[in-house]
Amino acid sequence: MSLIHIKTSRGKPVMAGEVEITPVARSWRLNLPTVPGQKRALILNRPRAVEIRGSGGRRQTLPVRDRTRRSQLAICAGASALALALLTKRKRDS
Amino acid sequence: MNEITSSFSEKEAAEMATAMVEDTMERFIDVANVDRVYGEPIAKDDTLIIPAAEVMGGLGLGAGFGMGAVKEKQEERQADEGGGGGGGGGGRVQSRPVAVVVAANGDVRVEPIIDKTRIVLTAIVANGILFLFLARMFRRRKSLFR
Repeated sequence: MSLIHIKTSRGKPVMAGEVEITPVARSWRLNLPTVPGQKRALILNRPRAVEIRGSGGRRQTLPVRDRTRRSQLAICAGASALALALLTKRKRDS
Repeated sequence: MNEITSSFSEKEAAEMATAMVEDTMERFIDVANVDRVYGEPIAKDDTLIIPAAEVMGGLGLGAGFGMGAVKEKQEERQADEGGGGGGGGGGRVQSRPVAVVVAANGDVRVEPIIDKTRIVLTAIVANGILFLFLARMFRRRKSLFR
């Protein structure tokens, strides 16, 4: 069994009037190494996009963006960058 | 447990324990299904709403079985020779709303759900760690200049 397993899956299409909506999700599964008789796994499953098909056959994909997660990552990245900059400045001064 | 060890061989008991672990793990892996992420569509007048959530989970399982003495043939063992087995595990699954797909009047859009509480908590924790880091850094500087 591979360590990381990534899977993109599509759900059942839903009709909204003349528009067909197909949900798409992506899952990451991390199989942690263990001894025989044990199993450990971590799973992250999140919405990826919705595929839309209109009455004229026109297809469109709308991504599902996680604004909360992006804001959290931006805050952490900003704090890490600031800490790294201060550490670098301190090493230069010393 | 003595009744069980006398009814099953060591190999059969180990296979049963392994099968139980595998079966539970397969049920947990079902969390990776797309149906767990998108909820049931909700229809109201001409509007259709599909909720979308992020699902995270972790699971750990283990099972083991052993006999007191190693004998090649099961007939050579006695019923009260000793043996035992056990297993355990733990896990957690949590979900968080991410967005809502809204379909109305032939138009489809994705409305994100922003959790302000989570963002503020992240900012507080990140700033707290940064403050501790800076305090430690300046404390070392002061000690150098003494």
